[in-house]
Amino acid sequence: MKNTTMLKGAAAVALGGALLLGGGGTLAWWNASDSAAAGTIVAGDLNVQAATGVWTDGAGNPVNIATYLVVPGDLLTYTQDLDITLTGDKMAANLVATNTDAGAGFDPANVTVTSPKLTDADGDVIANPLTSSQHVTASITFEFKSSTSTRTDVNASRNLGNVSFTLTQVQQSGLQ
Amino acid sequence: MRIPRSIKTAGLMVAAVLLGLMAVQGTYALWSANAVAQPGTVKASTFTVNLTGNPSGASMPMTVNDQATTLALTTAQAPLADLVRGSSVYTSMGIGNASDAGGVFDITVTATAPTVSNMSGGTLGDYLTVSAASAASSTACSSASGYQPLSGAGFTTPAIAKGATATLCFKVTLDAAAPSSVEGSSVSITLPLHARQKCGVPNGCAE
Repeated sequence: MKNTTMLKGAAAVALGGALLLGGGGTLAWWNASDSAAAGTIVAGDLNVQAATGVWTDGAGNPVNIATYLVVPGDLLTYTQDLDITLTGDKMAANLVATNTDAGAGFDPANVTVTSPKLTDADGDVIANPLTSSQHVTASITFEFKSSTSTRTDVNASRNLGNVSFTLTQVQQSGLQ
Repeated sequence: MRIPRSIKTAGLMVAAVLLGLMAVQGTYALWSANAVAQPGTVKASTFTVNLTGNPSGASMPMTVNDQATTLALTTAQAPLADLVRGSSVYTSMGIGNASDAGGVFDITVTATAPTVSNMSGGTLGDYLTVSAASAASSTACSSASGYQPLSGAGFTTPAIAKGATATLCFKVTLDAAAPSSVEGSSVSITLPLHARQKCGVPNGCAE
């Protein structure tokens, strides 16, 4: 009776092994795996930085506007360098300069103050939208006309206010 | 349960406005950056020309409160020498360009035709000639050359630079043929002066 029990146990072990072998057959089916690196998404950049502006006289010599006193015939130029940063495959932006908060002073007939002019490295007026980083120069001229007569505008002064440079991204094809 | 047409229209308009605002919001959401520069204040200079009479020693600006001033070259205490037929007497003034201009600021001063007024009904003025010239100093007036009669365009000094001074001499000559009736007479001579800025800024004037 003991032998019978042992036989039954052996048969059970054999059946279990066969089942295990059958399961091994499932593992043998074709299988493949791989991994993909989606990569890193890097954002572009948009920025405008203004350097210190410089005033020059009609001969191109620098002047200190805080102490320089103009006379009829003077033609002063304010030059402001701007570093434009534009990166991004679909980056495009408009650069606009506006002169605000300018004060009065001087008879308008005797002076000419130009609006900010934006030029590229070649001296050409920029064409918006800009699509790449670059160096832009903004300039304003102040002309005290030599036609000024008598003692008109002696000791006059005019605050040229603030010149704001705004760089605004514009919608491009492919952007949401 | 019909919805009035006006309510439908209003609903459509609200929807359109909302869509429009959403679209604008999308545009504003794009990047922007700003930088501000302050060019500063442009100031004009003064135009100050100082005159000093000789022999009077009086001194004053050509204009005060934008009004022309009057400078006496002679006084009772500092008269000119006596004038005789065919000779001349001299007086002068120092001209100082006191401008505080930032750049070059040259001026010239022009003396034009004088007004000669006879004192006490005399006729001395009819026999006088007033001329002017530049000199290195007031003591050099009697030996200066280049006197020009003050008629027509008058006499204009050479350029006087900012901060510099110059001497303008006047010579009054009595005609050698003046009658004896003018002896002891006196005249008052008024000399108009006009200071002008020269176009001396760098690279010439802007226009």
